[in-house]
Amino acid sequence: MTDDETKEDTIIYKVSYVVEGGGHPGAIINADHCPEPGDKVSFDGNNYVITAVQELMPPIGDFGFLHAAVKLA
Amino acid sequence: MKKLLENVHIFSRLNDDELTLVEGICHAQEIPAGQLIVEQNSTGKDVYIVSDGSIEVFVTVDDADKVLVFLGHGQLFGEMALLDQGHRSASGRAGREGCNLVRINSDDFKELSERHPSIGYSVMKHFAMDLAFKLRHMNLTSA
Repeated sequence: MTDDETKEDTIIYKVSYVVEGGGHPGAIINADHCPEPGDKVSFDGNNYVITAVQELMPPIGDFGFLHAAVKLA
Repeated sequence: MKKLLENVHIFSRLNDDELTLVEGICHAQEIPAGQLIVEQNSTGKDVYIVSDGSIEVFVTVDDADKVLVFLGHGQLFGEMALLDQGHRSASGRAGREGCNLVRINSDDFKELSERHPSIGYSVMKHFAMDLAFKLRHMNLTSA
């Protein structure tokens, strides 16, 4: 498999979580499934709900690179 | 531990034999909540991978801590030790839930890369992209 090829069923998503409203440093966490709006994620001792997801960089190999906006659940 | 390494971007293109070699220089650590892992301006040659939990990355300016990012599963911390011998640019402590880490000594990694150049090439090839991703995250949180 070349670097440009991907396998849907084995993709790991490197996700940049950014908290809406600013003032929070956010988090970077790998996920074994593609996050979607409405999904829950926890970091910094808090629970967040994802409000939007977009590709941050094109996928390479088995990795996807995403940005997810979140707000406190 | 090999399963974790497969989920770390910089190791993602290594084959099974190469991952076994990398696994041989990895050391697992369990860090309680809030414990300092590395200190800004200190020297150190260890690179860390977050297995579970999170690391709170922060800088201290005028005696005040400013958190830069929380790093969770699969993320690298202290990775500039692989590139230079400079002081730590930031501190890192275990998040509120504590964390499990894998520690790699940069000298061990350099030695492994000299014996197996394909490992060094593959890791460094993905290393820049990992840093770029962190910069993009910082830009988004600063916007």
